[in-house]
Amino acid sequence: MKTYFRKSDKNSIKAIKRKEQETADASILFQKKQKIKKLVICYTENYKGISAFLRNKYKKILFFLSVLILGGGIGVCFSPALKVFQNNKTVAIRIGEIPEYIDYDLLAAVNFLKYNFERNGYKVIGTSYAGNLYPKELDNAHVNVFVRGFSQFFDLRMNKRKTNIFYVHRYTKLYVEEFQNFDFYLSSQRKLIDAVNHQDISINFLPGGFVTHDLLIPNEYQYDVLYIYEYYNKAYHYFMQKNHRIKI
Amino acid sequence: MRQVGLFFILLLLGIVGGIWFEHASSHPYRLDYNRAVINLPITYTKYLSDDTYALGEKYLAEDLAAELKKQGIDTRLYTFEDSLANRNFNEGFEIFMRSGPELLLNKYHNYVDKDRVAVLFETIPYKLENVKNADIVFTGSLKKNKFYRSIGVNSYFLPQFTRVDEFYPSFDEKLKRKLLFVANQWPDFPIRKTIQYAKNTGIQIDVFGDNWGNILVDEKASWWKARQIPNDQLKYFYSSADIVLNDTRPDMIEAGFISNRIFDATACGAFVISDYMPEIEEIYGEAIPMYKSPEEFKQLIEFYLSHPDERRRLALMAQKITLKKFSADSVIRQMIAVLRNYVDKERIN
Repeated sequence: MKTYFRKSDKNSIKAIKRKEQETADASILFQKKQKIKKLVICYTENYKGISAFLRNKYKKILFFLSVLILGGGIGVCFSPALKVFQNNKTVAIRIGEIPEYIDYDLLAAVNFLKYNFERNGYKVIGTSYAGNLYPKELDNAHVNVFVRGFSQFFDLRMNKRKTNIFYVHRYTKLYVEEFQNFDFYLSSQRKLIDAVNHQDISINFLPGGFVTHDLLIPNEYQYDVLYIYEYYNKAYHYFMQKNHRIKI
Repeated sequence: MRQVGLFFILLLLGIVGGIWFEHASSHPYRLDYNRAVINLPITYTKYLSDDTYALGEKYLAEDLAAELKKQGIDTRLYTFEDSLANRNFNEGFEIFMRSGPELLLNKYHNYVDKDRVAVLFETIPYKLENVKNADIVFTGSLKKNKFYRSIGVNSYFLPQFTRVDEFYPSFDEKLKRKLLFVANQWPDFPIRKTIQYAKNTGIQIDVFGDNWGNILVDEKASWWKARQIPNDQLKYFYSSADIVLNDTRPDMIEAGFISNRIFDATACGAFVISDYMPEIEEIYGEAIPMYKSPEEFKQLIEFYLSHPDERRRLALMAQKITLKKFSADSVIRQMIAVLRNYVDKERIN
């Protein structure tokens, strides 16, 4: 039996095959596209997630920093106001003489000065001497009393935010130019006050007094010496009589 | 709610931090190492701006201050009056050009806290007891520097300097003259060599300076032209003279300090003849002819007055040397490096 294909049949078969191939290709292509699509969707979803996460993280960081900076700013601005609540009755005594040259007279005068402050509700937080006049511990004292030594201050630093007092008890040479830029001037020497006061400088008088002997830290002296000031003081006289170790 | 709570906690932390920062950063007595003072042996501040107050150290101090300021250390000049003024003295460096009871350098740190740096700028010889008390010594003498170092002084050789913005060629026909000598006669010292030799050899010179009234008398009185030349006018005088004469105090020769006149005059392009100093010879060689006797003094002057080309050649040579090694800019740069290094090394700040 002779098989007899019509031309068209042949074409049909080709066409069918072509169509099948096309269909197969299309199918493969479709599948590929589907895969890509999935990948894309998947990737997009992940990026969104990371992005969202990152964005949130930055937001958090920004939030933290902003609040901290805001708080810091408030703290810095508020800090001066807080000082009102601090104890502003602290005193530092800064003596412009080296310890070796400080005798009982000056020591007694300084101790009496401290006693007067304490009696008026102040707290003396420390004493410093020439060569170490500005130790850190005394930085925050609200009142600085500069006690003039035998010579002028060679290293005078003024904190204008605090009260600065210049106290003159003893001196070898004194310059009228030293009486400037302080808030108050004190002296135990009436003659000095009389000499300087007429030059438009007002010096307040710190009268002499006494402190008990225990408060004086003696240097290497054979005798404990107490100086009498310009006027007779009964208490001095009694004290001297009572203490046998005193030589006048 | 949680977020609100977190907000307030953070805010509180911030406030505490701010208060702590404000408190911790407050150092009222801390010194500023970008500032310095130069102590001068002058009583009143008004003399600083008085041109008739002729003190060589004042001009040198002004130059030093100007150059330090240009290079970042704000410097002011201090007189005795200033040191008593009780203002907030927070300069980190205190520079001395001379010492004395009012200018405390002896036992400096007995009276001054250790965070302030005492600097001695030695341009004339000082007593050793004062030199030893400085934290840093700058000396213009190689000889002295070697000696100080050998005894443990923190010493550095710092050449003297001239301000090239103040001293430069400025010829003025009206000020032209043959021989110029600008110097003061020092009280309690013998007559200066230049004047003595000029008198002996009959060479006439034009003299500007103080304390010549008793020395230049009779026919020599005409030599003395004026008590002083203002510092800002010196360059015209130096530039307009055929020969500028120089001599040095005996104690400065011995100590090895060269007079600043050499640097100022050569920077102006002036031709200088000087008394002999080995240090000048070492630095300038033949560019500055030097004499050792009145005869040599006369010979040099007569020769160079009649050889202007030779004068110009040597003056140019000397000027180049001065501008290269002794300009204020390079010298002060060295000084500042030493100062900063000291503060860092001692951890003062």
